[in-house]
Amino acid sequence: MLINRTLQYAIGYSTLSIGLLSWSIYDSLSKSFNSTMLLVELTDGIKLGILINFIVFSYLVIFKLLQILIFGSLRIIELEHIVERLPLFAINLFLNLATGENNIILNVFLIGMAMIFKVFHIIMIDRLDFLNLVIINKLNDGEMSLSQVLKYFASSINFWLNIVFIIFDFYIAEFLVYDVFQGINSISCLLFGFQFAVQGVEALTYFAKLLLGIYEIIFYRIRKGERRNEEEEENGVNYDSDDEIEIIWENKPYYSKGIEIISAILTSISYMCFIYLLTIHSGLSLPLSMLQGTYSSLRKAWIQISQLLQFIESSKRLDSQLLNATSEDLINSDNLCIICREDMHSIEEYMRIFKKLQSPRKLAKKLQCGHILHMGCLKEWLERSDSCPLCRRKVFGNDLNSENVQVQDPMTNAHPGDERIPGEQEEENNVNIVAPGEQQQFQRGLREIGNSLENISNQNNAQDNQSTTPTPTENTEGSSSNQYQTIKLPSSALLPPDWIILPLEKSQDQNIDYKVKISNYHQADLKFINKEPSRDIQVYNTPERLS
Amino acid sequence: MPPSRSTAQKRLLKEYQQLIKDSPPGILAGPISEDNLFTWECLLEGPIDTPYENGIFPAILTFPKDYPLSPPSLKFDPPLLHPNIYSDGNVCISILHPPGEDPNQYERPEERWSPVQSIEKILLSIISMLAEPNPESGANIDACKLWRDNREEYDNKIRQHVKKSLGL
Repeated sequence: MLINRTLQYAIGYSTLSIGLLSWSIYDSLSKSFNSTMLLVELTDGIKLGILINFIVFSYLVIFKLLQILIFGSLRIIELEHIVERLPLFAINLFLNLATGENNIILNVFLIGMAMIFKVFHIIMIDRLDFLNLVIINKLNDGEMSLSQVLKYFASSINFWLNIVFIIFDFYIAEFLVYDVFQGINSISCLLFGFQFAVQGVEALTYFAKLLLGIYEIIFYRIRKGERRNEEEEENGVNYDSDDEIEIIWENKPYYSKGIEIISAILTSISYMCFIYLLTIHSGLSLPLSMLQGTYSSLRKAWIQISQLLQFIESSKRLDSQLLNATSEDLINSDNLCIICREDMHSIEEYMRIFKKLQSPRKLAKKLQCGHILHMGCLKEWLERSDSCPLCRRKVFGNDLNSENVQVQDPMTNAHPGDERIPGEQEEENNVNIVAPGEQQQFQRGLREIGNSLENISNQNNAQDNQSTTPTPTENTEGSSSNQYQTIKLPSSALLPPDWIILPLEKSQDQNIDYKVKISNYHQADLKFINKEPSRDIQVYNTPERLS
Repeated sequence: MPPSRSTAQKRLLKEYQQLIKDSPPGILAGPISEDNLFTWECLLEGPIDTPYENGIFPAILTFPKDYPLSPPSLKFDPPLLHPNIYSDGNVCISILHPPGEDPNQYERPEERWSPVQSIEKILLSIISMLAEPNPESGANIDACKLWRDNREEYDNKIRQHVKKSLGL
């Protein structure tokens, strides 16, 4: 029913378009004596509208025919991508028209062509992604020989289409830009030529990535698999299936990042050339809409480069700076790698169980925050984020500075107290969220409070050795110089396991946000200094003894 | 194209097995076909004591090839009226946003995707999102307005949707 209705509309629209055009031509013919006059008549008033409508119509027809010819029917996801991306692209194109060119027919012609190309690009990339997925699934399921993979790609029309599109994009871009110097049509052509150039760069980027993927499939999955089979035959060594995923091209991220950087740089260069052409070379006006694109492409290039540098840096440090987890560590924590959900083994244990060396990707690495992950998984995660997936602490860098919650806690073992309160003996001092750092602004205000607190806590510390397990880092060095301690932890509070969370109670008092229960016998008042985004907390009242 | 292909498939399979073994109440999820583990179909039960109660909402989970390093996306099909669901059915929830800084500085990085999350946790957060919309990061402006200004009509509309989806 639905299809029928669309078909009805399509037929209706096409008869209308063709009918109107034939009337327009007929009418013009009857009024004009020569071809020049015919053209003038055809592009006059309502007839211009009819002509433009006909151009749109013929584009739709061409698009539909080509789509059926090249791609067949579209998958839902492809339609979705088109609906998602086309409007933005169209707006961009219409902005191009705002430069004041009046040749409507040419503009409509160019817009139609650009849109068709864009849509075909989207479909082609989706198709190639799908092809990739199919091949990878097949590879995972079972054997697939080199020639089969190559045949798959070579027989895919999209693969060749990609190449054709790249050539076309650049050719059209060159043609349109070249036009400018011929004085045929200035800004519009230049703008559209530029659109095609950017599109060509995109297609080229995708193609480079595709080749990278094919290279990986050939050399790191098939070849290595073959090599391993030979080895197995020779040595009689049996590899378990787990090793299969270790056939991974370690350096691939570098190459793909490199491609992205080159692409970003190419895009910025084309933006710059474009602006150069418009402003200096041709002496035309500067289109403001392009400045944003120039800026964002430059920024993208810069971000990509800095990400690559960061990634290189952190993977260098990954091996050397992080400790291998011991069997004990693994027993204490869940010995599951949170990323791949597979077991982790310490080096010795793996040797004992499997009687062979663990591959480096499967090494259990312990982060500074105490969480343990497979090295390979961690490495891949670090390509995307620089923090621990469990507690979001920075994997490398100055830990304490990178976090954003601060708790002022004057309880330290800094100075010996003067007065000793006898009743405190059995009290447990559990405040071990203590780490060094200073915050000048609170020091004066807290001095008095600190002194009294300190006295209490000092005594407690003296009494009670087992209760305080301060944070793994530098509790001692900070305390000698300054008595006010700062701790910083992520505000969504996935706390390290050896830290203790103190119960808070919402306070009725307007000056205080929470009452914190430090122990069974003491509580202190807490106030958020500012609520978002870093929840700075200040202890600003003396702990009071509870009855 | 990310390097971790079979990692994704292995983990998806593991999570699937886990979900079959003990699935939380109100959630049904699994790959559409065994050949392609990257697209899942889910049935979510509307939380009790909300207008979504008694409703059963089908949704499609789509996983990227580098799952679990990148988050999946969830789309209600048919779309659902909710402040945090786009009118095309896609869900906007911070744990499904890729890791790193939010370009708008709106969400803290801690709220975003991390491989610690599992499909079960995602679906549970979606259900709790149904119960408690977050109008601050609205995805469907009309639904946001309705939810804020005319709760009764909002509730009614959803109840009607539920009824319709049940074929009543």
